[in-house]
Amino acid sequence: MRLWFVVPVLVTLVFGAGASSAQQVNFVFDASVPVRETELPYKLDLGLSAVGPTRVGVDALLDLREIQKIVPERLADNAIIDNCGLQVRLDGLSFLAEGDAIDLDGDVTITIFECSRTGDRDFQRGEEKNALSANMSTAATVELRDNCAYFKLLDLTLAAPELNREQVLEEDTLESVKELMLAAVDLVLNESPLCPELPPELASLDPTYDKGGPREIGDGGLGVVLEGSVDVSPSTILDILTVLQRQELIPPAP
Amino acid sequence: MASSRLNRGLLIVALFALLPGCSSKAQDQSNLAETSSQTNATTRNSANALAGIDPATYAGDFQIKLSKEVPLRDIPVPFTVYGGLEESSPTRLRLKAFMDLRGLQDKAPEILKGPLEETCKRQIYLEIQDVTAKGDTVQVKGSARAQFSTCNRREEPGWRYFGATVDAVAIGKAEVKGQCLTFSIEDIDLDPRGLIGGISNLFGLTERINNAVLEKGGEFLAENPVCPPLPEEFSVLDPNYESGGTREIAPGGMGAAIVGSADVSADTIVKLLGELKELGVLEFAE
Repeated sequence: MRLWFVVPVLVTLVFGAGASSAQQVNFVFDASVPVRETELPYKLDLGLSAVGPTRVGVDALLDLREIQKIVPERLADNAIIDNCGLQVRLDGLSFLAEGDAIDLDGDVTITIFECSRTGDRDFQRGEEKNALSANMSTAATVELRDNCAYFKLLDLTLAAPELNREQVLEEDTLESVKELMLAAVDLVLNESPLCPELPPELASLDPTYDKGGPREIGDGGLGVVLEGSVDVSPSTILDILTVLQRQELIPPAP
Repeated sequence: MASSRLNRGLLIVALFALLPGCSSKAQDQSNLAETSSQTNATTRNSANALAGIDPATYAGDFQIKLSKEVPLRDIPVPFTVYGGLEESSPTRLRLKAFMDLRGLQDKAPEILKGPLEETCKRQIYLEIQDVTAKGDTVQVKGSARAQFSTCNRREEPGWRYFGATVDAVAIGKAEVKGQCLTFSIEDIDLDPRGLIGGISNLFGLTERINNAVLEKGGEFLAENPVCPPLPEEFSVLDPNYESGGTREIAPGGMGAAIVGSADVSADTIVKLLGELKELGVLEFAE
């Protein structure tokens, strides 16, 4: 019933809107990405505008600032790598979006243990041999695959202070830790793509994304932008109205 | 603004009903219609059958029904609108709407009681007995009390030299102009009452009353098209209403049918989404 009172607004909109042809409408949704056992929340800001007679351009901005805050907290003091002879713990991590890139910085503690083989496939962790702290810095980018955004680490630098480095017995320890970290992180990132899904009301506007990348939101805020389009027809309108009716958001059918 | 627009529209239909007539039988008939439409509201399944509205008048892949009471001169008048949308070509939608105007029909005598003209030389008061739909025309029965007088210096009615009451039956029709229904009087039949009435015929006064009703009523109807309260889901499509008019629902019930179309482009869809958002219908995150 409340809809009846909006007629004037609509009339104004219909007649007022006629003049400006470049229309854009934005919808903001709460979305989440499953990462291992948890769901990380983000906001999806969907911008729609007509780019052709039957084509609607779609700009999706994924606001990941909440994830940017949560992830370092969740990762704190967790081991990224934890095998028989090597444990790498992340003590601090910070993400920072800078223009089209994402910079990650953190401190890691690398601990090396004795490791002895006890069977064909069994190993037994022994005494702690060595430990050192290092500074980790890496950059990430976003790749678009199958309409989803995947984060990918570009390269990773591990830097240990001189004093600590002398304690490292094997020259290539840092190098192998780095490789292992890259592999471990990429594994998680590959399992956790950001696939923006539209609510049922807008499901008929299922866009195809053809471009995507990181985007800084505000000062250092982490975001991802996806650009694409969707072809529309009169049935798009009928589909949207039908869903709205099914959800009882607009008056029912006779 | 919407409600005044609406009211104006409704008033017109109502006003139309204002044109003369009289029959207690017809009154019973419209009461009957009222009762049956109340029954419709409660028994959903057989609603269409009871309402007597042909579903073809609002057929579409998407259908919507709106019921609303709109006060006209402080009298609540129930309205029901049925709408249908379907794809008619890759870039066009066809719109159909059927308005059940039986509530208005029933309340018309109450709403429209009053003067049609009140000048110093002529005063015409109308009393409506009933409004009946006949096919695609509307018949209004009532009576007109006319007084002719001289004007005094202050432009007030002076000596009333003649007065008569005539029973009247008017036939009206509605045409679709733009997105509104414009009513017009097709025919009016006046029957002066009693002896005075006979005399008025002799003096050609019946003719003058006839002309006054046609002229004043016609003027009023032309100036006040009925712009039907269509679903905003339709309005946002900015449609062209191409044809339509009043239609009879079951026996004597008044309704109106409208058919139109709307161009659909990416721009229309973006606009529609924007407006549905404005309406608070498409709202997702706080």
